[in-house]
Amino acid sequence: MSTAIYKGTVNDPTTFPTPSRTHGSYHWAFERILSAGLVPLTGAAFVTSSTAYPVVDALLGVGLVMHSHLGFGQIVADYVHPRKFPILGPVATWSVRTATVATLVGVYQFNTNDVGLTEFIAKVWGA
Amino acid sequence: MNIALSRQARRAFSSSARKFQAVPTQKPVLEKEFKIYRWNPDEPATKPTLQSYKIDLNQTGPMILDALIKIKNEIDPTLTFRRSCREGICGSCAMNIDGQNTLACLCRIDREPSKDTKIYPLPHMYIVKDLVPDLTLFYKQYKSIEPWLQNDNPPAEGEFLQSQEDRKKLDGMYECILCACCSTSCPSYWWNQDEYLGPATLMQAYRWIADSRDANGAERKERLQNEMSLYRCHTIFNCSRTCPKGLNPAAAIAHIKMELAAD
Repeated sequence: MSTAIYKGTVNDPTTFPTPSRTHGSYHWAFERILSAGLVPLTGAAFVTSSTAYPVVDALLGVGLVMHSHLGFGQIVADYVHPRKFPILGPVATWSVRTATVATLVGVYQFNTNDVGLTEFIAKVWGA
Repeated sequence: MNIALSRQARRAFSSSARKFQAVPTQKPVLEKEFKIYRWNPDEPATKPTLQSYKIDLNQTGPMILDALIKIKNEIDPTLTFRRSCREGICGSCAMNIDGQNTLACLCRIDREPSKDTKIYPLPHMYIVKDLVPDLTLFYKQYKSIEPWLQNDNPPAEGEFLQSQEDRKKLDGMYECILCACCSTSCPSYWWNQDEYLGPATLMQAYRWIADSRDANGAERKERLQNEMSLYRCHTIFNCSRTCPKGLNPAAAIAHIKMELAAD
């Protein structure tokens, strides 16, 4: 047997990474709760006006960006995991992080200095 | 009834004179093309090819495995594949038939002669030869979940007892024959099989977590608390769709995720 393919002999079981609930069940549960929470939040944004409830706009802005961040994180873990892509993996990870922070800043600016997310989508919808 | 017939009736037909006089009913020739993946490790520079074989379905058994055995016996003895029980209980003849991972012995031949049938080994596995994949990593992963009963406090007398409800939880999981059809149908397993356990192994992991007689559930669950072993499952459901035994590995994985989240 070639040595590169298997760790240990063919009779050794595979090993597990160090247990970490942050990367395990907490991460998974947070993803699900966030996804489920976005449904009523989107509904709330529909029926309220963002000028009266800026907090809905803020929650939506943060929630959507977090949701996208976790989603892109899964794509990175699936297709360009750093263990297999020692250069491209970290580049992808940090690109996602940079994009997330930049989007958060942008959404904050947009919500405080401009019409805000809900109002904007309502306008585009109407146009 | 005349005497001749009654004498005849005492003899089995197979050894009677009539048998040798009888002309067998001629079935029409129903020729069908099988295109089978070939790769020979003795010629590693030669790329894998699809080799075409034509056989008469009316002289073949009903299943894909019958066709493969006929081809090996009568046309090409170098064709290599695994088979053992021919009744779907050993899991040896798992392969990709017309795009679906299944057991050749449980898969009927499509009798439409105008359409060829393509047979490949299980997808995204290292190939030993022709239709034989290397399942070493699959077995190493199965071993890693410690698939045996672990309980340091056996009952003082007799055996572990289990309620009927607790026994029912194991139905649909203990029947797994580890043919690897589900794991090799899973895209997550294709991309990350060095770290992701895959549906077959995860369902067996849950088979021991769910067993009321096993006392090591907490440790079994703790081992899965990481990014790769379990959570590369994105509920694609290819596993449950392809299982030749009709089991549902996706449901078992969903149960593990719920139990880990509630832990």
